[in-house]
Amino acid sequence: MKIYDIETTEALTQEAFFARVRAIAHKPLSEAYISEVAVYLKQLANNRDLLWDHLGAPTFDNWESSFVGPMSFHLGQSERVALRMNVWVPSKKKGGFASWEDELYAYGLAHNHDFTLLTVGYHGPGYETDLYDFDDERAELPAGEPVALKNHRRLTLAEGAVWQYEQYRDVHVQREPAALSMSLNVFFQGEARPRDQLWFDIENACVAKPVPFAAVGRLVSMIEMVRFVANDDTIAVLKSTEQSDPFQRVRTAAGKVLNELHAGGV
Amino acid sequence: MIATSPSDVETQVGPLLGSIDRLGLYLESLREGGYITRVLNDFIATRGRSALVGRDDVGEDVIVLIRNAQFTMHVRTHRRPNPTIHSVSAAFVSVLLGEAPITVTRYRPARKIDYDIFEPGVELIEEAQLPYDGRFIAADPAVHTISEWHSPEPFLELRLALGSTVSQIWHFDRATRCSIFASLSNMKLTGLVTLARTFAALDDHRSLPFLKNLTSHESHIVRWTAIQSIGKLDRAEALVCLEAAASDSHPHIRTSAAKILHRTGGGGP
Repeated sequence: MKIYDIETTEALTQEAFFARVRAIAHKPLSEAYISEVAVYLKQLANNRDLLWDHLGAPTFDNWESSFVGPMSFHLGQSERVALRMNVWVPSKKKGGFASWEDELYAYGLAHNHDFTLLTVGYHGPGYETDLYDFDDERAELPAGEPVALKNHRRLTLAEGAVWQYEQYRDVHVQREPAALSMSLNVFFQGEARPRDQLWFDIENACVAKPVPFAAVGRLVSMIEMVRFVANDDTIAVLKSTEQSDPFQRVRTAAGKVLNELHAGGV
Repeated sequence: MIATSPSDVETQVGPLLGSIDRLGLYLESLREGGYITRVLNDFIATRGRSALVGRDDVGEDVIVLIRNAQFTMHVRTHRRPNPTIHSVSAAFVSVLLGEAPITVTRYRPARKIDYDIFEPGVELIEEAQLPYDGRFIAADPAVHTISEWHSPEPFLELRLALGSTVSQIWHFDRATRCSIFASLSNMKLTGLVTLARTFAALDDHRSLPFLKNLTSHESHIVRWTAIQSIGKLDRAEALVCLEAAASDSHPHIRTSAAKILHRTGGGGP
């Protein structure tokens, strides 16, 4: 986790933020580039009218077109950067089941990201996160694989705090905020994803499992789906996948489905 | 009708939306015509960069083929039963893909219920277990039966769902078969509730006109959240809303509004 210490009182509109981001779009995705975007993000967070302007106050006619998830607003994107506002709410347990807030935000679930995330606290006390350093560079790790999770610390994303979650490295466990909180998040387009995203078992210091809805997991899932509706083209696609996909998990899934299809006479 | 792209499917579905039977037959034709196979093949061949489906439309076990104002169409792998037995929020029609042995279990609540007014402890009674015959299956929240599909093997479902007609999905405990909680039925309701709560947290009076509009929203959950948010922003305005809410069509709002008015000394001339 890179924690920025940015002193600026300048406040940017959303348009000005994207204008500045576009002005440096020629630069490679590097620490220097991300640090520049971090300054603009901090300046955007200084704009206390951001949500009102974006949603089209006072009628708020734009709310539905920018609402992209149970708790996210898509504020805009450029060729290099996508900007979202996340709303973090305290969880409500229901009948012994994990609440949808728990599941949505992965509250209590240790994970890393297969992308770099730049975030700034915009409103409220902010969520807490238990953070660990994870420097294993293997592309894939199976469930149960022992891992070293180092340097545990607990941080709070307070208003104005700017953090950079580093791709793969920052294993974290989100804790619900004390009260509704908001953050602005920047994602970087076109980032290579050479490794699998993982859930972790902190207590046993091992991989809990690869994240099933991350890029690799989704590909495996689609391979498992296609066996129900396979045709001759499917066989060719799966053979190519089995031979050339960079991830062993994907190659294995393709091989397994091919065997099942052969056994079933396809 | 041969579909080769999402726009083909949207065009072909449009004229059928008034008839569940015709939609069911259309899904059967999509299954036979290989469209789903084409989408999945392309997704795998392009490692998730298929033009036939958006990146955000693919989850762990689901691929959303179409999402528009009138309907959504998705394919889902069923690997295990849901944690709860739950009601549906919208009329839908489904076909199953593949050869898995499927049993359809049909339940009905022990008494007539209004899905917009959740009550814990309502029992679900098993009515029948039927083998799946390969034809389309339709469901509607207006029909109070709840159906679940079971198989010892994973199976694939193609579903077309129309817009939600109730604001809540009821969840029943699988062991006791009693209702235990309800969740919001669609993204728009979730969005409005999120927005109302966010405006309350931001404590800015500019949101008051919008929140006041929400107090007449068709969903009682949105109406009540808006009243609560107004209560955090403007006490006088909240009292006006609560007085109106004391004659709301929803019993929970009426009861809650009356209690608050009684406690605060409002609600009368």
